[in-house]
Amino acid sequence: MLPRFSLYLWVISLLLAFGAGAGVSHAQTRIQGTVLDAEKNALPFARIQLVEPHLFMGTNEKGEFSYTLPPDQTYTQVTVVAGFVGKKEMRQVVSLVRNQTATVSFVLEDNNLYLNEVEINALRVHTTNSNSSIVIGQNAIEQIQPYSLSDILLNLLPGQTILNPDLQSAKAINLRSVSTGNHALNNQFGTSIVLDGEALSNNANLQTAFSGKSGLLGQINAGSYGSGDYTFSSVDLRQIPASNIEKIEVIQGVASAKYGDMGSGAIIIDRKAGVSPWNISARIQNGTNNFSLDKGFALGPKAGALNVSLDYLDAAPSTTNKLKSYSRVSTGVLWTTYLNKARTVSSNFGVDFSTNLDDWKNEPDDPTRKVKAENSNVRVSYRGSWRAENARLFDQLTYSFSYSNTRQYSYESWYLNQGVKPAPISAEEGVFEGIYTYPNYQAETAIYGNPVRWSGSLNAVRTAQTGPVRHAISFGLNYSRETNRTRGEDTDPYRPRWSSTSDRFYGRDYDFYHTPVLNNVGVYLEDRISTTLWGREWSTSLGLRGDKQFQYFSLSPRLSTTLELTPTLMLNAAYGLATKSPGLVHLQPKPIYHDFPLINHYTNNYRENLFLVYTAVIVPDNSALQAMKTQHLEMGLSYRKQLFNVSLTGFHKRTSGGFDANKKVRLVDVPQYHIIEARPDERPIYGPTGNHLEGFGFYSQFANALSSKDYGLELMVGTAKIRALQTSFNLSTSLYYSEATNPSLEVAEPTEWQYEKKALVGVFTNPHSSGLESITTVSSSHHISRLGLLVNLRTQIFWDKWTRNSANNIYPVAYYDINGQYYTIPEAEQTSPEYAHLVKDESAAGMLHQKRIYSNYHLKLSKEVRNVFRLSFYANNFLNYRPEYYDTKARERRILNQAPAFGMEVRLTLK
Amino acid sequence: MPLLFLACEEDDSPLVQPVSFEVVVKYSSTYGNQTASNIKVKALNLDSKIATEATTNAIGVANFENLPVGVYDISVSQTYSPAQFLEFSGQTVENDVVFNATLTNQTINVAATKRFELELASSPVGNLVIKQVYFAGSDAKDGALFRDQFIEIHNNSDQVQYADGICFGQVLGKGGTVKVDPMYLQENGQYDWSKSLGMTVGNRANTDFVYMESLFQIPGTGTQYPIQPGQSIVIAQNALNHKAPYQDQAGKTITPINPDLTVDLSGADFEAFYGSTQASDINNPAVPNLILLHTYGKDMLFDNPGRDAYVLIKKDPGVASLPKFPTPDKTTITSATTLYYQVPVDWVLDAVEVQESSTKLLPKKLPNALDAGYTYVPLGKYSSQSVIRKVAKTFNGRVILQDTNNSTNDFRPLDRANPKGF
Repeated sequence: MLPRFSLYLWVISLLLAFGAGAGVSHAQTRIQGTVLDAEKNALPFARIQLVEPHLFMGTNEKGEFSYTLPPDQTYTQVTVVAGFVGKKEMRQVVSLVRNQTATVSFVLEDNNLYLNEVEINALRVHTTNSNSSIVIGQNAIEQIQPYSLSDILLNLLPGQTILNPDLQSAKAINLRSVSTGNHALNNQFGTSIVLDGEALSNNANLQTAFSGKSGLLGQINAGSYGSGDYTFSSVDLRQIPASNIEKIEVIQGVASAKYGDMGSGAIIIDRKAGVSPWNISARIQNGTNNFSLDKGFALGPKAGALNVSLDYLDAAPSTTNKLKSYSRVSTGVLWTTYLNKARTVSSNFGVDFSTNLDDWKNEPDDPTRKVKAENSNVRVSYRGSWRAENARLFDQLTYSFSYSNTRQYSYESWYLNQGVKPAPISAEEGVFEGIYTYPNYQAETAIYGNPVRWSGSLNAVRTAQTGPVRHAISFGLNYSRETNRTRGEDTDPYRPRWSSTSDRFYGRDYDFYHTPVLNNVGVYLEDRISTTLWGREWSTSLGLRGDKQFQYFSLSPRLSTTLELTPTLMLNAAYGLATKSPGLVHLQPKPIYHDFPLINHYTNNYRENLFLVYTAVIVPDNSALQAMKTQHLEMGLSYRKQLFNVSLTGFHKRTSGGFDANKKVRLVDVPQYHIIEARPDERPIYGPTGNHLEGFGFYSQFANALSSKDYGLELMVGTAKIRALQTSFNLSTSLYYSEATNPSLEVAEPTEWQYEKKALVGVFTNPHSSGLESITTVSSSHHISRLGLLVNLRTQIFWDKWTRNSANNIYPVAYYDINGQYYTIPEAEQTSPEYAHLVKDESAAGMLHQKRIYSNYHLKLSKEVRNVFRLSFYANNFLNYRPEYYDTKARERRILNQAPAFGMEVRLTLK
Repeated sequence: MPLLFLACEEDDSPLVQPVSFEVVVKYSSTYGNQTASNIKVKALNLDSKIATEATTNAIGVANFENLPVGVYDISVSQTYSPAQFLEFSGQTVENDVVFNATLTNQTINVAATKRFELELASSPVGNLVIKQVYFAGSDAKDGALFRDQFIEIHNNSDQVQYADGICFGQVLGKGGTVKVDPMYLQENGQYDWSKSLGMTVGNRANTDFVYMESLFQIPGTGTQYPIQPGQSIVIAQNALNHKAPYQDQAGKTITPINPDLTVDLSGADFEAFYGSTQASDINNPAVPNLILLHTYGKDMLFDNPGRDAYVLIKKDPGVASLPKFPTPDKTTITSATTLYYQVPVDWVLDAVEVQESSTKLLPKKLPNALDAGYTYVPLGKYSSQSVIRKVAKTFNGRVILQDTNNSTNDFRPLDRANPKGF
């Protein structure tokens, strides 16, 4: 099948070559080269990137590649980058002479500590994806000894605090902001994680028991460890193993128009592909064991390479802790090959499978409480590119397709002994008889989820030249369809998890079969223009993206530009708009029940017991929810010399329309009932009294309600390796300031109902919160390449951190009276004693203030042994520096910095 | 031949015949009809106004010998000093107790009965007392948690008492974890109520009053709920048989894992029902509900570890209109500030101070006059234990409980709470 397909393509390209232009000149400008490894063996399927023409290609079985430039191209020099899995990337600038062939050869060294220069820090790089990308290479990832993606990002991104690895709850990352609560959740929800070209989306996650009435979002917590569910946030970062990641690019600023469905940033992950030796590693820390292995098999000169990876993780908070654990198994197979002899059509086909189990119980033997979060996922993805020589519309076409099916199961079991309680069971509106729960029982909550995602994208690049200006036009479209149609929440009304008087009580089954389908379509057009301006290199990227997310259409312009002021100083600026689609959890029309008890007659005789209740149902229509919009303005300067480089970036980010549940109230006309006659051994006769009562039903509905502003400065300084010291330094300082608010009004349920007052239910503005954080990280790496030894000391200095909630929202701005009439209170009267009973408790205004500057010190050590064996060790807070201070407001002693944590890694590389 | 000799008759004025009679002195049924020994009995001849006294012997009989016939008043008046009365009945009293009995206009002659019975009666002695408090609750997993709490009130007097209108509740005091500025506290660590906003009585606020965290009143018209001497009433949080609280549709009974740990309160006399705030608050239609004057929490919940003090308050129409004050650390009164009833100490019929244990003591909530000591359950919260007053004396089934106003001496722990039991 394969040879025939390549023959077909060969014929097509031949025809195109003939048809494309008359007068094809036989003298052509060509680039050709070879890629060899350190032992001078050929490297087949090496990745070759021609930067200026925006092309990718691969080497053949002899390690050779060649490219003929189209006649209209007038490059005088082309940067060629050669890369291979497990080897250090090399780039060379090749001068071109018209109608001649330029030759370049690469010898790629193994990427280990014997290299002269090893980069173990994150670097600020201007890439095609954004002006201020943070690129994390293979060595930096390995040096962290990470158990998951979360460890890599916390250790290496500027502005993040280095924390001991914690795998006991779902992890996410907050990019460029100091926000908390639902603002932080939205920031995480808007962080797109792209794995091998396709996004891992969390849009269809419905694992929550949100009742619609409580302010809490309804996720199941595993005791004090937090939740294993990550419904309103990004994909759980601890589920992504780090062992087969080759490179990570983090976009915190303005992304290229190619990326959609994101808000605060994107994390682009490339996994290892291609022929590679056996890599077997074991990472151990107190309570955590992580084993991984990967290998890239060469399948023959034409069939390409097959990468197999396997990662097993088993983590508990400590070796003696028998109550909490998290285990993860992930395995994947990736087949990379070229479909034609000319190697113009590449093909990557991968199947990944992973399963995660987060488990907690409150006692080792005979526990009364258990929480489980299970998650298993199958993902099939196909990615390819077609380099079309002499095509009219595009120079290279890349396409990808992926299907992902996840099974989620969140479970909580709690032995409850709370006595007989009345419980409503009707799912319809009206007066119905309820039931009485068992007095003591095992309460179980189970949520079954099945997010399924189909997605595909098509992208094309076409280079063109208009005079002195070179254009690289890329355009494309992407489509995704996400559903979650399965059992949902099952509940047994006789054994409810919450008492029916709690606002977290739901009490009815809710299946996901009626949740909507989330369709997202996006198209984009981007032109990367490069030219010279007064002799200075100037490149600009102008992009426009259109997205139809669910039922809402938006346009996102993305502009970024860089200007080379001097050969060493570069100025860059960017402005862009990004939109994040709402998730199924925000859109789903989940009914909300308000139950008003009418008769509670319990005589402990099942023939006589009667619980009569009036149930009111509201189904919120969230279909009009729009996407969350983020506007980002960024400017930066970078200065690059041989010995050191400095980059300073400032940004202003504005998010509006973030998803939050707004508290509202509805009035329910509740008919009053009474018992007319109580009969022995029979249900009593009951009937309406004829009176009606106005019942208040408080509920929460999702809306585009959050807005925030983030400002920040990031300074990154890196030095080359200072020969005399064999050490290189890297400093990154960040200063972030955030303000966040929910401009809508919220209705507060009174704690004590004072029916004699006119103003019964108060309406308030939401608190306005602000925060600031400033951290400096100094990383010094002492690297002796002859020994293959690297010692890295990371110092973090915490200059300041504070968060503040404004207090001025304790006075009501409006109220409802007993008939449900809404009245606004003019500002001058808001503090009057007439409304004093509605005033909220003053302690709602909160402030957290770091009183002193303190620091933390972390040490990492790695030693290579003969190219086969690597031994690594890390110690966080290795000096055990834990300063204490007395918090006068809370009257408590507080300790800064976590306790020290140690771990080690052993890695074998077998060819 | 009849001799009509009305001769000089002998002056046959009735000879003052000496008679003897005995008087048996007994106590009333409230004291088990016990015979009273060593009691002075007075027989007053109404004609001659001569009083004769005799003392009853060991079997309660006072023998009067050779008294002239006539009409007599027989009376007994015996004063017991508090110490004597305590020894007699086990009941602590403040004042002398006077026992009286009188038989008036009793004709004593040769033909009349020679045995009189006098039944001694005193002015009412004793009062309602708190007999048993079950605050600990039963095991959180195997029992009924805190739902089976109850308080039992016992009629320690010799009269029928009526529960109608009697109040009781938990006394407010400073808890262990609340952090309060020392300037609002007395030396012993308790709130200094003299500093409360609006307090005008100075330091008497601490010695002469108690402040109610919760206040309940027993309903009734006045004579609806009698309590016989020696009997008690049980006031339950939930009047339910906690040993078998549920029957499902099929008739299957669902019990707690270990029903022996809890109690059957379906026969309770009164119940606390707050409405639908606490879902497990059951309203047994057969049991009358308390009147809720001031509530704390979602149901009548006693502190499980035992950090409450309980008082029983006499029936008084002014209870609901007693003044209310905030805790001393509140500098302003807003609508959210809780105000507590201030009850005068002389309205308190009985009081018990409970602590968590002998090592974990909180500042005393009750003045020494009400309760000089404290009591606790050794096994702590959720242990099914209760505290119960010791029995001082039993008179033919009428139990008199020890009440010396010192619960360290008066109370003992009971391994399994036993409503209406001992």
